[in-house]
Amino acid sequence: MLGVFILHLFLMMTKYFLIVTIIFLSLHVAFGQVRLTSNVDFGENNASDGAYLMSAFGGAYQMDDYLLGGIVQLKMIGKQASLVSVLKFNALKEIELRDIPLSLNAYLMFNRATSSIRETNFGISISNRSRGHFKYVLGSNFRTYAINYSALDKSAADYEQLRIHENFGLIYNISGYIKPLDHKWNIGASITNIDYFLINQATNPLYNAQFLYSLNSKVKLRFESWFKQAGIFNINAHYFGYFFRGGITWQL
Amino acid sequence: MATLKLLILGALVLLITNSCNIFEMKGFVTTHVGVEERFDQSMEWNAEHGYAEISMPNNEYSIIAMGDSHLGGTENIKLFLNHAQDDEVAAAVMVGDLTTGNKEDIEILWNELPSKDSVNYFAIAGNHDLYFDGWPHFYEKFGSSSYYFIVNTPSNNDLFICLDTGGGTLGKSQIAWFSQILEDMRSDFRYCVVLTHNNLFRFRPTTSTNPMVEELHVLLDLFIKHEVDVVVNAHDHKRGEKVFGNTNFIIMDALQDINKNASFLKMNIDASSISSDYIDL
Repeated sequence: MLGVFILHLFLMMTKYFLIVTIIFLSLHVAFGQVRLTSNVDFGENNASDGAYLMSAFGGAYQMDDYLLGGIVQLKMIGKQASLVSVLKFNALKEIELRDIPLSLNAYLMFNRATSSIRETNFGISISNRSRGHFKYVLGSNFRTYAINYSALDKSAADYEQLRIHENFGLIYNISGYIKPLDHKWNIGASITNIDYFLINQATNPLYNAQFLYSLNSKVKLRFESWFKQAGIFNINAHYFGYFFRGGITWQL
Repeated sequence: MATLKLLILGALVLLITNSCNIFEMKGFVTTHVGVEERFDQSMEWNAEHGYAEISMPNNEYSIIAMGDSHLGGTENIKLFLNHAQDDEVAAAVMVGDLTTGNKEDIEILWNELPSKDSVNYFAIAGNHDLYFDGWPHFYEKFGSSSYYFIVNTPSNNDLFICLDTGGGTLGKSQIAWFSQILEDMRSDFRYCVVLTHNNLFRFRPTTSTNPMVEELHVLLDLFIKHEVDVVVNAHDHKRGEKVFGNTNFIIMDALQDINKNASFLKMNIDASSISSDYIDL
């Protein structure tokens, strides 16, 4: 049974990895630079009801100053509602403001959340393109919680409101690294409310430590350790959870 | 230079507020008594004392609730407790940040409270009640911060669940307990109301924090699956109300004396619905 389960997981992961790879390989053959990404997350928190294991596959396509990307997060082990947990698209435009190299970023994220609830999150931000020791991101996000129609016991028209919006939230990331950002290896740390797949409220910052290593000019490895505390801005901080992430990025 | 001056000013403000018993710097990093330990103690208290059942003679009754009284000042809490003695009021729930966490202020609150024979009052700890190691004093006076009580009328029974979110998270054990309560008991009751200090949604930009998004997903899922009718929060100090599916989410004003817009919440419960009003002070 365990062997069948592991085989099933492997086949599902392979299927999504192949789909993403084929899409971006096609773009690469046709036009410009393509980057493929794969992550594995393992962690646990107060709300996860045990440990979870998630994998993610994504790609980004860059042409001149523009970048378009997408990433899908899949549930491997855990209480998430469905196999496809999160789908995220992002776009980036490199700009210069008074000779300062910056990036203008936008993302759109769909989170399956639970069998009854889904979340849509849209955000725009600006970040530096420095090759120094620090990276900053600052922006705003718009969150919508919605009830899945399948969870309703009456017709949707009988409900006053099936969505709640939280608008103009603050998103941020402050990261510091011991080496310049383009160094072969690096160790860094961040305070942020942004993760690839979850955007927290501005008053719930997350901490992470990163180890980055470039195998060669095309392949980069990353290992991240995330720590989550609740209630920091209640000035009554409590443990909430942690997760570890291992990832690889391959520039074609 | 300007940045350095701002940093120094900020540090001085923090130092002064800390030394004036408003909050502790260590709260940004840790807490005196964590949510799991508080929950264990609450369950011990519940096992020893049981869960309250209030019988009302009529099918229509009221529940009043307040939050953020932040005692010291007692003017508004006195007005609230006066209303609590009205005949149609089944219970008065104090939804956190009742004091500053200092033992003296908990004693001030305790001295204002009427006897349990005249008012069925219930208290939930908020983040401020936990400052300066306030939990032992809160627990000594009020006992559990995670519990439910039941109101019985001639025709129906209603369930009121009080949850401890003073630390910004329910914690694993309390989430599991809450889920089990809803699973086992919800279907036996007409209405289900959840009261907890920390507001779940951000209806406006504010520095007050909320449970983490992952926890919010789980709670919203529970509210939908088990048809929770009303969720009453405090913490944000400013009223707000939104309906989401079956559930009406209400945030109360701060009852604190210095608040010009102080009010408390009155929920009117009858056969057809739960309606609520903010009673301005």
